[in-house]
Amino acid sequence: MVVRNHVRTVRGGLLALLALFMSASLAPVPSSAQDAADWLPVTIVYNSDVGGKIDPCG
Amino acid sequence: MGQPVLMIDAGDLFGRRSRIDREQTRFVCEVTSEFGYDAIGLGEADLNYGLDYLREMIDTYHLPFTSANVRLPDDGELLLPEYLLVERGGVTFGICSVMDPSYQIMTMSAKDETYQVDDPTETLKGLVPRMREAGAETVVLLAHLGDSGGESILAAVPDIDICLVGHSRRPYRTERIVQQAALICSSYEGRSIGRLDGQFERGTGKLKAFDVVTTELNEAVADDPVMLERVEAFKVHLEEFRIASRGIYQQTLGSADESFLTDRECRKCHQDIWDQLRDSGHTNALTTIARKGLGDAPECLVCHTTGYVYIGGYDDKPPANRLRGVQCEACHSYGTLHARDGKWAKEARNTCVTCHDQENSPEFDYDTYWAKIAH
Repeated sequence: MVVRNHVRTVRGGLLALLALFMSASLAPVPSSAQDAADWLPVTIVYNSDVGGKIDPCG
Repeated sequence: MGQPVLMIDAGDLFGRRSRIDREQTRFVCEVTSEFGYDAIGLGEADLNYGLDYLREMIDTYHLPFTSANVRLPDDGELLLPEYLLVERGGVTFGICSVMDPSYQIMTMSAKDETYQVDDPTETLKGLVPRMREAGAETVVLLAHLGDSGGESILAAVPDIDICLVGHSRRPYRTERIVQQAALICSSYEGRSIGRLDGQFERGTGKLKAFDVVTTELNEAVADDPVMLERVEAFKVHLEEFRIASRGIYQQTLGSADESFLTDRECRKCHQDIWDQLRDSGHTNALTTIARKGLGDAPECLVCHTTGYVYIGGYDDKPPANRLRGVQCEACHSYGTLHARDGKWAKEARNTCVTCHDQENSPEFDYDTYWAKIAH
């Protein structure tokens, strides 16, 4: 059974995202060796307005 | 090996002003702590339960709240750290948060809490250069400013690299660049989560290239079994809390064979009376106490809602939450009784004094008060 709730989905979402982090970066690929040396990849995961919810309304 | 991750939230983590939501917010804070957020902006909802509660959550769950423009009115001190510096993947991120002063901060604290919210633009014009001086290579703004506020603030304040918009209902599903800054927004109530994969210049922290993905957290996202078990266990606790919080005001009166129909049903035949009473003290009885932070106090709800201690009466979850205020059935009893035989409850006159008693309504006089609602 699939239950929609914020905590579960965020947790599930993060697990899915972390799995992606472990497999391959989605970050833009540097076009040159020089860029590759100068660029630092960082992923930002962001959220907002959780509203204390476990189950989204509607 | 996975790449470094920075986790941020643009505010309004907390729930509505009710005891039930406050209890649930505690659970959400506990779990949010485990996710490992690096910075959380302050939204007006995060003060719904008062400053003491916010600080308790911060201390208990080590939540990295930050706010640059919300102050205590008496001494002008900021409530929270002005900004945070976080090193991640060789980049030093400076993260700050501002809130729109027009958003109303209302607490359900017993204290009369008011706050001073400074102008976001002026705040950031002074703050961003100081963050740079303190070592911030990449400036991240948690803009609790709503849909249009993000673009406006970027137009007014230079030198911001990334702006996460809060107090919004619209996720941005593609890359957006405004004034050379990345403008991003996820969604609300945990409906989606955003991810920005960025390449930052070594030594300067400048965002050189990025992709944005928002993932809708729907049924396609697999349950985490451990978290699901915790959520279900919490829901059991919450139901116990809900019952316990009623105290002596349990729903034991009336009959399970009858139903409250709400004033929407009454209106179908009694539009004239509905028009007469729509702005009355009775109709707005729950709103009145909610403004004082008492919208979830059982000792108040028993008189400020309809059928609170009756089977099928007011509760704060649907559908019984439609019985807000003192509706027709608060005096006239179950609508199903009336609908069945067309009679109105003649004992309605006697119900006034159940709430208009000496303690709560010492000046009550039937003739005087009846004149206000005569129908």
